[in-house]
Amino acid sequence: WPDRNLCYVRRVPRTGLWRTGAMLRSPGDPGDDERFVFVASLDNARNLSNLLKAIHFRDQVTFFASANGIRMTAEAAKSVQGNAFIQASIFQEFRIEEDSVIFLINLTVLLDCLTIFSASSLPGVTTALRMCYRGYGYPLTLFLEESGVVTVCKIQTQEPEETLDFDFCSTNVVNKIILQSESLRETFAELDMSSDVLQITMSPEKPYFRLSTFGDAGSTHCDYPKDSDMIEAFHCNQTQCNKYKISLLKPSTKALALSSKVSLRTDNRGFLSLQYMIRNEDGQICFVEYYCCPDEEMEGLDS
Amino acid sequence: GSDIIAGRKMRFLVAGGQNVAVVARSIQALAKVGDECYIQAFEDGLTLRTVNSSRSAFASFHFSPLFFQTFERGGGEVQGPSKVVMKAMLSVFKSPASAERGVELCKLVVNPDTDRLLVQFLCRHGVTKTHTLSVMDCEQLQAVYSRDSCTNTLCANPRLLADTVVHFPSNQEEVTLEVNGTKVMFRNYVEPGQDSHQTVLTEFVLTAPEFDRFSVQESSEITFCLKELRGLLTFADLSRMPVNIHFSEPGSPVIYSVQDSAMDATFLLATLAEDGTLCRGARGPSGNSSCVEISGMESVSRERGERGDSSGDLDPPSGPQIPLDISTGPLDLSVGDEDEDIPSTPPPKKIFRSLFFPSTLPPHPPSTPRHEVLATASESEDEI
Repeated sequence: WPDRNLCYVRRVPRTGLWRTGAMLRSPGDPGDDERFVFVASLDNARNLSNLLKAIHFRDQVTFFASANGIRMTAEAAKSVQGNAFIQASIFQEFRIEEDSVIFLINLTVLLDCLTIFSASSLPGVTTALRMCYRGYGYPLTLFLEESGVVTVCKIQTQEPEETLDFDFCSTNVVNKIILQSESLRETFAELDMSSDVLQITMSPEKPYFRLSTFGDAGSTHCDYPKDSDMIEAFHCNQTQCNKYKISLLKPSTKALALSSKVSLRTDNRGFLSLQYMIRNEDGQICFVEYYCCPDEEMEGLDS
Repeated sequence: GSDIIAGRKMRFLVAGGQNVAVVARSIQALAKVGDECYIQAFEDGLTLRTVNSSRSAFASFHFSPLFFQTFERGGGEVQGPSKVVMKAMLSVFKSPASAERGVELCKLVVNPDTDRLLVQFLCRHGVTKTHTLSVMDCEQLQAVYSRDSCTNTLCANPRLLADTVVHFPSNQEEVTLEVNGTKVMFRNYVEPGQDSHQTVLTEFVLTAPEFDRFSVQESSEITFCLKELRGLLTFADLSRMPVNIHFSEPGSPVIYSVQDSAMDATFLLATLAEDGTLCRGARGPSGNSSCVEISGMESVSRERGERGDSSGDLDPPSGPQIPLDISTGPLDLSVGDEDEDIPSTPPPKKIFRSLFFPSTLPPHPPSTPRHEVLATASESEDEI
């Protein structure tokens, strides 16, 4: 499980020199021998695109790269954040000339480019990817190759925005459950979306782990006993019952669908951390993480 | 005495994913017909029923106590049905396939005192899913009919029917079923006046040997709404149950049914009258033709508990028919009595008159005294 410090958010200072809206250089760019600030290559672009789909609930995402790897962050309503981590070791080539590189980019466009050769993934057929970035103001250049055909995409980059710091640290974790994703998938896929909230109860006593919705049809409770064979680890110290806006958590269903295991943690403020362990097509492990704050109005109320 | 004090809670336990899947499929079939699900427990089982908004289609699923691991309806008088919004039932019994895979037990508890229906699934890996729905008390929903009095009976493999209706587009509202000698034809219904040059006509011809049972006493051509029937056909196909079709002349409803040792389902569909105008679903000797409301609560109370009667022999009614009893409020039928005198073609949606519309204007006097569509017949008369 990733150390929270693996890819940390760094506040980007704003100076008068940095303008909003990056410039896209004209086609008359200098050639490839120009120094790139950041270069990364993958033999199979799906090892990146599949993971990014798991946080694709916003168009604009923050791209952050450091020597450790890449982290992409999507946020909504100042209440939920999704992070996809692809560590440097996943890449066949990974070079970064600065301490870090950060910009805002359109994830829809990025995904369209990464999947430009085939919408559905055909086993055995892969698209090779090389990502290059020359620095502030330059686009992110993608070279994609499949069966000898090469496509070059240049995606505009933009002024990065401050990302939320949920300040979620392990020492404040009150309850933690690690589950096999399989058992949670159906529950999440069938969530009653007419309910405003998803209520999560975690407790050392019954009902141990409960997901509840309160929709037009009525209420639904889905209970997992702590000794269920789907639960790998159950560390609940205190009964907590928190409500989260269901519309904010619903996108995490994609991450759940890709993952083999998921860890749910709540801290003393009722903030929720969901960590998804995802195996890519080459069997390597990557992580997607969601943070969500409890629905303010409901804070403190019991079910 | 003690029955009244003990409360009116009813508990039913369905064991096995396959059986829960049957319940889920029955609800999907009912949902193709109506928006509300009427749940009622009789001595001889649990029924789930619905009727469509124009009262021209009625569907009923009946599960005998054999179907359940536990069947506790509380002794004593049969209580009135509880009504649940169909959408809510659908969201609870979402996927028959996942029920089959993942559900071990399903507990249903109806508590009329708290107006709640509890549906609890005990699933794999110890997971428990508990749904609590609101229910409303309501009046009886029962269509009265007699299969035995139908002149024609067919029994078909559900695959045969599924393969036939698949050729009609999903938005095809009405189809015509014609039996003539040893041939059975299904065709899409084209309204008179519709430009036949612009319409695709589809006709399917089946012959007697293709049916498991073929008993045709009178050639007949009936037109009914296919949309509502599809639910039953899908159910029959997935449950692999042969489909029985009972019908007589145009204007009388057609009865589709399936059954096995533990459950049965009946779909009643109104048919177009021969002259193509509004069908007279029923007639009653003294029926008040303008009456769309319940003609007397006493006839209703007679209906209650009747299901449990062992008496199979029922005479043709001499008094007012027992109408469909939906609510105590005025029934809002889309087709009003005034339309009876209007010869113009009614809007497509309204061509099927309510099944349960007592009328004093029969298309033609019957040659033989036969049961009306609302002839009193308890289920026991039709049980095998």
